[in-house]
Amino acid sequence: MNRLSRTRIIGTSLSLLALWILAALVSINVGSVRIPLLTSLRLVKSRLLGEALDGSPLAVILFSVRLPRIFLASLVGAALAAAGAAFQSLLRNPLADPYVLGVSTGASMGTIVYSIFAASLGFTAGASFLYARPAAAFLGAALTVAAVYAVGGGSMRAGEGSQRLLLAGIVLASFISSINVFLLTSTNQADLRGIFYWLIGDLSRPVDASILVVTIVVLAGFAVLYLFSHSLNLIAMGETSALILGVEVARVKAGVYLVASLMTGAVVSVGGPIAYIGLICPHLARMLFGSDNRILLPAVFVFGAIFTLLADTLARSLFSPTELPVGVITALCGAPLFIYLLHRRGGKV
Amino acid sequence: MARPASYLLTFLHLLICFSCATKPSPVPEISGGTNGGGDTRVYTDGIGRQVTLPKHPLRIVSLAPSVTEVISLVGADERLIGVTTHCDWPESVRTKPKLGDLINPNYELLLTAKPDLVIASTAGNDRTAVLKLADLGLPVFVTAPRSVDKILETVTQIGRITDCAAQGDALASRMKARLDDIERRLAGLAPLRAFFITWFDPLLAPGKETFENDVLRLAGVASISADIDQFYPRYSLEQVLARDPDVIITVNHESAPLPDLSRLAGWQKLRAVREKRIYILNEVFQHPSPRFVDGVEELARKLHPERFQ
Amino acid sequence: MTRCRGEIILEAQGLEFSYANPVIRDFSLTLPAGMVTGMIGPNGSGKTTALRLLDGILRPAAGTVIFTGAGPLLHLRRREIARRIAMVPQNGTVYFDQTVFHFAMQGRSPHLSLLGFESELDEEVTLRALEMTQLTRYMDAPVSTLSGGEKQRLLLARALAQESEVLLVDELTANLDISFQIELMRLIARITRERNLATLVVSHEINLLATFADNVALMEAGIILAQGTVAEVVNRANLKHLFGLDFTVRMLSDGKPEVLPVIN
Repeated sequence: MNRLSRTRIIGTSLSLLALWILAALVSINVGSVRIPLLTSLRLVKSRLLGEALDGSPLAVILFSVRLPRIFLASLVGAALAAAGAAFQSLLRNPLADPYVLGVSTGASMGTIVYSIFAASLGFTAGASFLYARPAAAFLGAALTVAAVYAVGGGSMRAGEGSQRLLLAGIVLASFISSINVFLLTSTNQADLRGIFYWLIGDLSRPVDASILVVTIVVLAGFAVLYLFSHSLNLIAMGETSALILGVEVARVKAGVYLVASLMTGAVVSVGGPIAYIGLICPHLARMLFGSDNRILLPAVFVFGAIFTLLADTLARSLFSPTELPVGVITALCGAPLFIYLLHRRGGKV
Repeated sequence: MARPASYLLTFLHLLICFSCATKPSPVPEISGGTNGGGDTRVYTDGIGRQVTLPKHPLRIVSLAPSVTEVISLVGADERLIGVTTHCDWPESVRTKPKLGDLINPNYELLLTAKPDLVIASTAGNDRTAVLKLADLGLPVFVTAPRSVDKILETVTQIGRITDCAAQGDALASRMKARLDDIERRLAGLAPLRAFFITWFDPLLAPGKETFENDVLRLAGVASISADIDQFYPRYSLEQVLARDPDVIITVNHESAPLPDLSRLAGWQKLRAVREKRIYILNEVFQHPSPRFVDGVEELARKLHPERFQ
Repeated sequence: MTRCRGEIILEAQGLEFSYANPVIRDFSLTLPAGMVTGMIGPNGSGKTTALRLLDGILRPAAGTVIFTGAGPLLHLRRREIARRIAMVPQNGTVYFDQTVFHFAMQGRSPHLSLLGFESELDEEVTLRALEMTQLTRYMDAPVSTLSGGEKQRLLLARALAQESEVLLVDELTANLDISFQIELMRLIARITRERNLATLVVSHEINLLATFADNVALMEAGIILAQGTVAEVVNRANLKHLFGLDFTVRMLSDGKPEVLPVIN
């Protein structure tokens, strides 16, 4: 019988981690500046041994730009994929992605408002630049999550399904979207460029200490989601069934919603709302590993990291030295992949 | 159904208030004649179109700030009856009626104003919008100040079509003279390698055919992004690090000031940042108008103060 | 915990519940161990709501449901309830397709720890449940390929895998062929006796209940009209009151009644 065992989960996770390391090695090598693999390994070894670096451009690029970016891309991808898988189970909807409850639109609003008012509010040079924009985005996301919960959260009571929540998310998202468009019409053209790249999803900003906060949120969030994985399995069978089988459905729904939204909000605030990762990776992972969240969640976490890392590597090296935003690559690859998936499954998910 | 209805009413109310709030400014009546003299000439404009214009236009509209600046400098500004919302130099043009902005000229206001000369610029105007104006019957002259030489050409062109040819030519010669002077003063110096930041977030740099790279050359600077074919490509920090420029130059944007590079990962490791060779210039540097010469001079002075005693 | 046959395991006292309008009023019911209790009532009498109250899924506005030895359901957590009470709902959906075996094995969930995985014992229990409901040959098939009746049997298998002391069955026989209806009721009756379960079966099939149930409860408009043995409760007067129709009730040789509506 193929019942799930700890061994299988650990084995799968380790294999995927190995794949991720491979992807990271490729990503280190490739880019607008090629860093030969041996050089990078040597540099990493020196750094780990505590030796002083020679300050060569390759060393600076590797440690100050490329490695942080690899980490960022992996973190963002892992969080979005895991949150997407959780939402798909929670809402029992194959089209659910981490943004379906309005998180990305809220974060967008935060960023747009920040862009418009930053100068007049005096956020000039200095530390505030680094933290203010992600903080504004996260605030926007958090407020939207709270609003959606307030409007549609009555359906958190068990047994009522999540339609109200979903509807509240869709309606609020489109309302905030229209506010965003209105705000955009009042910005000057130059600022629009920056906002546009952010909206499409872009990992090229310098990585700073705020990544620590994001990392903690993502890792802690994933741990909580994993605790809920069996409950999510049961909820995916229907809320009444889940109740019958002993799941505190209302509590699980609230917990998963909150945690997944936090994770999403955190990574969206640093990388923008990158499309398709949270939608595609869970489906791909499900095809490979099955729908049992106890193995799906860890698998999709690493899978999402690999997917996004490779997409971002492509984005920054295809037309070097110019860069595409990663959201373009995920959309270009994601859409056909999704269509192929649908076709292959005969329309079933 | 009370609630949705009241929301709809409120929305309509707001919509009406909003449209009333944006009143267009009135177009002044200029005394002394309608369309100039019946005497016309055919010119070839900056993008190769043949345009028939009056010899002495009396109702001139400018569709770009750089054009407005030239019109003022050649002395035709009393006949300027309309500018854009972005035109703010010199002081006197701020009171002129605003007939739209760079990308969206206001067709209704423009047609009502009945200009006999509309001057557009490829640096900033939307091509389709401008050609549409021509289709609507307005006399449109398009200038193309895409390089330093073209700017000088534009200055003489505008001088000619506004019937201030002498002032136009004189202005062009003065500009040339100042540029030659700067070139003389910098003679013998090896060009400094610079990374010019057109925009920081996202990181944009000027490519091969841009005006900025042209101007930088005049100030004795070699732009490291000048080898890319695109106009304003997105540049990667890794490339900047690999090419190790001597200095970093940018223009001051009020809405998006340059952050403190010495605190940003990667940037702080650049030699130019560590040596504090970051120069922030007045925005006239990027104007495709005669004022850019001020920008060139400012940059040259900052980079080589010893040559400007 | 070993129970004596006839010992009351689950008791509802004076339950009241409303959605927009009152649905359950002063509902009282006892479920004894080792016996099948049938519940009959016209549509809209609140049978499903009553089941949900009995399982603790809904909270009554008044009254209480007590599980002997564990106290009122309100004081128990869902896992504790799920270990003691199993329910076969009217229909179950499966969102992400899984095999029949895995679906049935979900019934073991209340017995697993939070991060726990299923053991060999859980597999055995599941296999036995599938055997009893004659689904073994579909074990590895996706649930979506089952027919309506087979899905119902699967829901029963899952409930059996829960190894509870109380079994609540909601309209089990709706989609099944008559032979399967009888098979399943026979199975339920047998398991009830073997495991000493307190079973409640909601059904429209009066004859089926009359044949296999030990006790019957008649429900009308949110309240139990009568509860007792089949012979006591299933009579012409009660049935006429409940359904507004004349019935003939004939006692068969084995002491079970045969009920037929009189159609003019």
